[in-house]
Amino acid sequence: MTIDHQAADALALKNFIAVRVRYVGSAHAYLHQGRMDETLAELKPTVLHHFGLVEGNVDGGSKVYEFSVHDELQTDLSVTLRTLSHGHHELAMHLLEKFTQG
Amino acid sequence: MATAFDDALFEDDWESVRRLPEADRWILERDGSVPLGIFATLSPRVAPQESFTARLRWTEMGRPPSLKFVDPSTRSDTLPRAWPRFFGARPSNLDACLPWTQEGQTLHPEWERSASTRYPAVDVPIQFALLHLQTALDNTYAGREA
Repeated sequence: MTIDHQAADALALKNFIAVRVRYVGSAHAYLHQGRMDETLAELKPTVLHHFGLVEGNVDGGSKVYEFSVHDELQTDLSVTLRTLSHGHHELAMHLLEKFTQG
Repeated sequence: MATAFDDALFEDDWESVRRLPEADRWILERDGSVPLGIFATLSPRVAPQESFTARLRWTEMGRPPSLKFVDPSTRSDTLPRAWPRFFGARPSNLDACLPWTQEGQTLHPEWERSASTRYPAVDVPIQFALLHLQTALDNTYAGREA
């Protein structure tokens, strides 16, 4: 392995984060190999696809899913995984349905 | 009417939900008076000194559960003060008008006609209810009902 390759590998590891997403309606979690600079907006389509969920206008209504990290609902989807993980290379989160109130 | 399938799903979900990391925050008990029911004592993140005992009962595991907050000692479900105030909760009516509750779907039959408000098909109904309830308490708690 050349020095360039070693540097590239080190850089890749530095930017790597393991994300565990639990959709609250599923018994199984999704394990995502992400980038530290990846945003929730970038992550969301992958997660929805994994769980077979569709967001947006569906069957007479608008369906929305939300992430919860450290027990807090995340309303800013531009936040990066690095920020949410406080620089750690592991992160756990929930995916929940956003419900209306009657 | 609960079927053998409902019973089996309930037992599987009951076993797995107690292994969740979040279960460390809960006191979970079976509701022995019905086949498909539990009590869960939870606290909001912002008020860990407060605790509320929720009673969740299913008639079928594919339908939304009834949600009531009860007195922790007597298990009475007629006390508004047993209720936390959070998004969707109506303590004075002793219900939570949300699409994932039986009470909400009964009050709003039109919710069944829209994907955004219909009760979804979920693999783990107990987990689904408890994690939605905990998240609501953690993010929208506004005190105990007077």
